[in-house]
Amino acid sequence: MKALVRIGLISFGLLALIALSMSLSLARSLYSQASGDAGGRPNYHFSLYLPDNHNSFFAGIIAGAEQAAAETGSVLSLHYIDPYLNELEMASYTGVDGVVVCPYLDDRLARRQLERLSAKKIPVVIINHNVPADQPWPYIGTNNFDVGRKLGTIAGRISREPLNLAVVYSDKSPGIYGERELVEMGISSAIAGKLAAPIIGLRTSMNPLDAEQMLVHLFRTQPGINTIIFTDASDTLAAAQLLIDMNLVGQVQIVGFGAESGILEYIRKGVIAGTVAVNPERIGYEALMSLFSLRSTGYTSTSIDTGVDIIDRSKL
Amino acid sequence: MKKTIGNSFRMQMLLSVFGAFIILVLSTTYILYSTIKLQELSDNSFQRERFIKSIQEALIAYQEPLLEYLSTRSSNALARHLIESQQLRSSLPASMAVSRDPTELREKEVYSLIEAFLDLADAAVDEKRGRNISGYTTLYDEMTTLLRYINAQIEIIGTDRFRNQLDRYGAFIGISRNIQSWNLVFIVAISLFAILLLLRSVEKTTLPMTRLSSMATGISEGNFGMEDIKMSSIYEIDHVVEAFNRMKSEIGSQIEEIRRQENIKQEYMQEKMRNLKMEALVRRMEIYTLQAQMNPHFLFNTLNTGMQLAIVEGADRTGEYMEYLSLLFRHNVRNADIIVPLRHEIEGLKYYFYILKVRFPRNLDLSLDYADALLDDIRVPVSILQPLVENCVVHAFKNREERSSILVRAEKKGSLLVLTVADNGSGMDKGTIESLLHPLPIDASSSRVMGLENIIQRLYFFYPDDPGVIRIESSLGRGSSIVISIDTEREPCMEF
Repeated sequence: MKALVRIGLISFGLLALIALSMSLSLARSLYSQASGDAGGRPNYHFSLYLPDNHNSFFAGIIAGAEQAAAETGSVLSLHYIDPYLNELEMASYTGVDGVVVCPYLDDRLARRQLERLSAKKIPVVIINHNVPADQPWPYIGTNNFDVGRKLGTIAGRISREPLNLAVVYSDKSPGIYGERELVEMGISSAIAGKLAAPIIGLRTSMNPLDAEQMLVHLFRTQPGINTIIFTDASDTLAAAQLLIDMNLVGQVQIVGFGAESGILEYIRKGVIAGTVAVNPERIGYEALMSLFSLRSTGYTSTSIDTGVDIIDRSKL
Repeated sequence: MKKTIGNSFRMQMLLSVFGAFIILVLSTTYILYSTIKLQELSDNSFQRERFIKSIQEALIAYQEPLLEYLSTRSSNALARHLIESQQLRSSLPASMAVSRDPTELREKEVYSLIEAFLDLADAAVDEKRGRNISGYTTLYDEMTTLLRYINAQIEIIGTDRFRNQLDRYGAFIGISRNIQSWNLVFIVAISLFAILLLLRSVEKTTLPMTRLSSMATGISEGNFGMEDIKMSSIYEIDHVVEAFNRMKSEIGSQIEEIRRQENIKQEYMQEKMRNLKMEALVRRMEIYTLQAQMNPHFLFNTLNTGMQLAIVEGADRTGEYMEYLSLLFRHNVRNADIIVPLRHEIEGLKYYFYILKVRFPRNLDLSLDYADALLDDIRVPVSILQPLVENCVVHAFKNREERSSILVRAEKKGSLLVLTVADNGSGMDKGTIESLLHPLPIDASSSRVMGLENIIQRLYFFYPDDPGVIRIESSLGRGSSIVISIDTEREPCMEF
């Protein structure tokens, strides 16, 4: 009887302790989930303003910025620039510690909004597309002349024949579109003597499918076009599929933009001649690091070139 | 054990009962607390949503007096505006920490936007007071845009929070159920633990009492060898236990002393009884002796008369026979000593031999071998030789035709006087020898112990420490030798 009581005491005591520990542990995890304080208090609250375009380029920028935020102990709130809601216009009232902006509207409007932020002493870093100003904001991104030169280099390697070249800009890549003159200068510098006719400039909207319709129209109206350069990944993919559908592979060469898996697959198959790849993660990362430096020390580099790479069949 | 508050019976009982009670109360309190916290947690997610909605409604209501003031410049509207502005500012969180939750970040931004909106409103009022029409008109436009943005953000927050709540609800319910299940296990286990704890305390308190009861029963049955009861760490009980153990020990030792005395008394009584029996035996023997003395006197006188008559009538051989018979009787009657010189025994034996020779003139040879020097120096129990010879005559030669002989020898071997009575008769088997040498105790044997048995018993009586004082060497058909070995350096035992 005595031994039974002792065994019972030990067993039920242990069971009660285990049950209490489990209950407390679960309750603690529930409270911590509810309070959302995992990882400690952040230092700064930064905002990232991007065009309302959910492609891989911007996803890469977001991923890079979030990584930098985690490393610096900051938090990042994401805003898509909605012209109807004046998102960027309202940024100066949000009380954030700094703003990373990817401008895509016209430079005058963008400059005004950025100046409002500067007037409120909110640090600003620009990515992807620079906005000229008297007191320029730090810029992180590619040099679009360099982008054009790399695009032209790929186009120049395709054939010895004179090029009837069209460049398709897009609202989905506002940085390149905003500096399209620089891009064309870069292309021209790479293929100076090979152009059979002046470069034809085209533009697609935010619709990821409208490149198809535009190209059909182009082939009808400009049957001599033998090389097309794209500045957006979605447009590149749509064009490659159209070439296959219209049985124009080999007759019309495509120089793409971006390093999506679909584009790389088309390069392997020979549908796309090559592509240029920027590093959006690095852009996002460096942008937030610059902002952190600006917020914490007051200084940062005025410009960081994140580089452009050429990808063709030889590199796959 | 020294009595303290901690080890008193009352305190132990109080501690046991209240200990179990407190464990149960604390457990129940924890269960209640965790349930309330779960409810609070569930309610918190809605509370923040209700709060921000109330701010939104207050913000919409705030616009009416502001617009009225900007339109009419009414002092009442201004007063209402100031009150509403003050209330709105005070209802906003003083400072909202930076969170990692995107919804909370957006919420933080919204509170900043609202503060900016209020600042713009105050600025617009100031512009109105300064009659700067374009100033307050522009500001009002800015406020309208800002308010629209704030409302949009609040809607986004609401949607995000609702979506998050939906995502979290499943996990919350799952974890809540787990918590409640573990709480149930906890309350059941802790209740059983408390009950067992109480049981153990009661057992600890009552066990010494049970053992006391058991020991009391044992003691009442006379068992004092039981192990002492162990202490219980409760002062009062230990006090009783200690007293009981001491009492048991003392009673046990007293009982043991009484038993020892009783044993001594019994031994004494047995010894006394034996002595009484011995005395009775001695008295009986004395009576027999007296009786034996009375008859021989009569026979002695009669024999003397017979002897004188034989002389008168000229029957000399008859007279001689009767003279020896008379000498033998006189020899037996005259000396009443128990221990006599060896000479006395040899003389008596000579008279007896004469008579036997007359009785058995042709077929019985009698020999007596001794040294004269032994006769006066050595003393022996009276009448130990003649009965042995008589025993030979009566028992050894029954149904025998050949010539019988009896040899009696007295010799000294060291300190031992060795008396041998040997015959060439029919002998004895081993059983008879054993029964003769190990007779029944005196009190169990016949009172009329005669002949060889009488001699053996008397020798054992006089020499109790010497079992070899008499031995019989015999076998069937080869005669018998009865050997008496008396240590001459030791006095015979005469004490009863």
